[in-house]
Amino acid sequence: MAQAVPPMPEAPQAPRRRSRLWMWVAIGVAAAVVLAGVGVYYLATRPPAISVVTYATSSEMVTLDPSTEFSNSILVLTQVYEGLTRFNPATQTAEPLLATSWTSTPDGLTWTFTLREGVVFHDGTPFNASAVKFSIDRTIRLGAGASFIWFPVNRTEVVGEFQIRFVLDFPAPVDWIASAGYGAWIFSPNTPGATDAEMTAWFNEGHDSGTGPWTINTAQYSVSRVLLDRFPAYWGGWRPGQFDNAVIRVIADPATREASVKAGDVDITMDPPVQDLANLQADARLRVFVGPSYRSMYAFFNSGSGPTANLSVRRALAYAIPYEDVITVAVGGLGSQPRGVIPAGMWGHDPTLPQYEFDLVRAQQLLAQAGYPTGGFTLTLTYTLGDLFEQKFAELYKEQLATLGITLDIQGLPWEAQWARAQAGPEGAQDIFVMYWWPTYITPYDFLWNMFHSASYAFFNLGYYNNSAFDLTIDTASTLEATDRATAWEMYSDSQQMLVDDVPAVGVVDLKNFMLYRAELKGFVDNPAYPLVVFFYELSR
Amino acid sequence: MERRKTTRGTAAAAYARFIGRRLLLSALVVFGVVVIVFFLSRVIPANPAALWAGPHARPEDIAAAEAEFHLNEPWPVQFYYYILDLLSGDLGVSLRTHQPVLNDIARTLPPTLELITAALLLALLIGIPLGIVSAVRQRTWADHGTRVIATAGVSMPPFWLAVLLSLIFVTWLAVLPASGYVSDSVLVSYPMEWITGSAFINAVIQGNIPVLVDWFRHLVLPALVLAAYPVALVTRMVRTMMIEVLGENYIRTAQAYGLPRQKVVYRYALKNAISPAIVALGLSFAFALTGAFLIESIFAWPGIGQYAWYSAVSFDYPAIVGVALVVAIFYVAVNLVVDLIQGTLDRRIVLTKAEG
Repeated sequence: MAQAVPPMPEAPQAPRRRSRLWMWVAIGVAAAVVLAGVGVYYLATRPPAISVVTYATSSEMVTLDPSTEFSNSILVLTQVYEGLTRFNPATQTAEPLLATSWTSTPDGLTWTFTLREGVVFHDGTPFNASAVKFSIDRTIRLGAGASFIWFPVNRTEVVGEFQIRFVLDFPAPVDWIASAGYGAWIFSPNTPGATDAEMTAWFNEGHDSGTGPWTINTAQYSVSRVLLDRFPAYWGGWRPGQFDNAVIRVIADPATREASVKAGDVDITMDPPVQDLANLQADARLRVFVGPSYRSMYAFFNSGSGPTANLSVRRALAYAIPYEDVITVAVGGLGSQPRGVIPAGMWGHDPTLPQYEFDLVRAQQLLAQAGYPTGGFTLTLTYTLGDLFEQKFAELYKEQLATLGITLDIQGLPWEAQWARAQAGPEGAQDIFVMYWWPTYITPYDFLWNMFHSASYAFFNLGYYNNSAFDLTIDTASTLEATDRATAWEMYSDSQQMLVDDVPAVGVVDLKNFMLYRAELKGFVDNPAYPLVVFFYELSR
Repeated sequence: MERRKTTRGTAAAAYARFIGRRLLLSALVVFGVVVIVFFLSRVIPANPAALWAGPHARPEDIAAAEAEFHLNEPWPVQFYYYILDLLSGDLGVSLRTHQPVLNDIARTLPPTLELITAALLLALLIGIPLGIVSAVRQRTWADHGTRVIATAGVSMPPFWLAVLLSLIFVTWLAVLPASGYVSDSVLVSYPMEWITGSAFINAVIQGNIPVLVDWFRHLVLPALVLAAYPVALVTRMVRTMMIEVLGENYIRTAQAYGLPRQKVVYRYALKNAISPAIVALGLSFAFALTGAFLIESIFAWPGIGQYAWYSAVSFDYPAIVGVALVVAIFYVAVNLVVDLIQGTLDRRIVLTKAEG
């Protein structure tokens, strides 16, 4: 029989003590306040900061070898190295940089450059013609990256301490080639490294041996943050107001880049979110730059296999692209519809070339001609995963093709995977390949050869275009650039007309550069020949 | 009656056996992880040679890369080369950054460790007291308030919380920086040797107060965002366990014997209640090593989470395997530490396992 247990009498409590918890909390808060006070004191009484300008970019700067670098490190190399010339898009000419003047023979096969005197490399070595020969010969010998720009060169000759001669196998505009943002840099012949590989390793550790106004701070180098120190002995001299240091930082998220500029952590950045354009333009603390770039987005149609092998189908696909929507929706208004292959603003662009408009009726007629009056087939489109512009274009395109009865299967892949698939050849490749192109140096040949020449088949010629008349036209035009630019321009225009007719690819949109910077930053001028590069030497606060 | 011989020597020996067995098992776990990750990263269709050679590579460059990295060999052969290199401390070269993977990890691991340690400390310093208060003052406003905080912490998406806190502290109040690790202007004005990858350690070693303060200012927002979930978790777990423990007979017995309430709560109840919270915290700490990548991305905090994500989407297999190796080691280490702490708090655990 269970009995209820009487409740325990309340035990006599010890005298109530203040909770020790609150004492510890109070100590913690007091410590935090003291620390904060110390910190504020230090920051408030520090000497005036050394002036630094910070540029936030989206992609890492991975390799730094001036002979072979062909990627995002252009942002860095344009600061620490110089070439013989630099391209000025306003005047559409190559202007003197390390070379002060040059001549060429009428046949365009021999070019002689007179070099600037009184220039010194960061390691103290004097700059002269031997250094130019050393640099360009090494770039040609390594044969990687953008070294193909020197393909016309048979040999380089030192004809004087400050005179260098290029002897060519066929005519080419060496002055424009030397202005390239890739593969045209001049570096010191005393660069450490007994072998080419050792020298590359030395560069990739974060060293440089250029003539430019800045040097890389090796101790602090990482692929996502590059600190540049001033080179006091730079031949261009230094004026009051210029920065002592520059930093290029990677901030992957566009919204964070924008917030950082607004907060003053970053002085200038590229590609903030396009939907904020109006707000940013209205903000008095900021300045917005929107201008031509030489970057375009292309959609390649597999002309070697599948339904896209049919010319009428390709033309129908070109009529089915909603060009206006792509500009307003996909790129937030920061673009224009291309004409031909060469982007607007670049030498070789022909504004009179015909252009496909968005015309679903015409597209439907062409499909019927090809034997697909109600569509009824599926196409695979690949784009680079993570690229919002390409992704939005693909989605807009899918909607339009659906109304024609064509199913578009969109696949976002990492660039390497997308490209590997395309290189498998027309049978195994995707039907539509989306990518950007921008020039290595200012010439239409770079666009036309890489993307459409038969020798570039399955390399970047991913429409698998094979037209010997086209090949001949552009090959001839490239040699005429050195001696008869007007005729070269005409021939490039003719070759682009062929591309409009045969549609191995179509330009989707010419992108605009979109830069955001603090209002107090002076001297920023965008140069589309060097994509997304900010020349820190020209800036001041 | 051998069990009575619980002298100090036998206890120490029990610990030693416990640790020894755990280390052996941990090594096996790490090896297993490496094998699986290596296999997966090698059989997924990708083109690592093209990644190495860069976006404008020619076919010859790609072929050269394939030869150099043994990419055409069957994957067990590649694994053999990998293990050989691993035994000499070489984790390979990242196909994306072209730097040794070990260097990349040495550079990116310390900032993430700083971040998750800060979040862990916040979880302990905020979560445990809140949980205790909530348990001891059940059904009062303190309890309700705490439970609202806890629910909010587990429900709010990190990116949303990040944007919200950024709006308040960066845009409106302008007291904290928007992103980054240490301001460039501070680093340039007060130069610092980067002996380790951790700005905190470097600044402390070199007595660089401005960098230390600036680092702390950059740490606040990402740490708060990262701590939201662990704080909520710890609060709830401590509250639940405390309520349960406080209802136990031995607690009432202690009170009946006249022991002060504070001593009862902290020395007796808390020690027993906190075990599950410590385990959960340890696991979330280890998970945050790469799980913090979203927060690292938003705040541009140069940590290993971001590195792991870039490596994964670009199929940078040496980096992927290297990160998996480091994370696996970290997980087993944290688990070992958590078990040791549990063993300290509750002696029964270790001895039972050792004798088993």
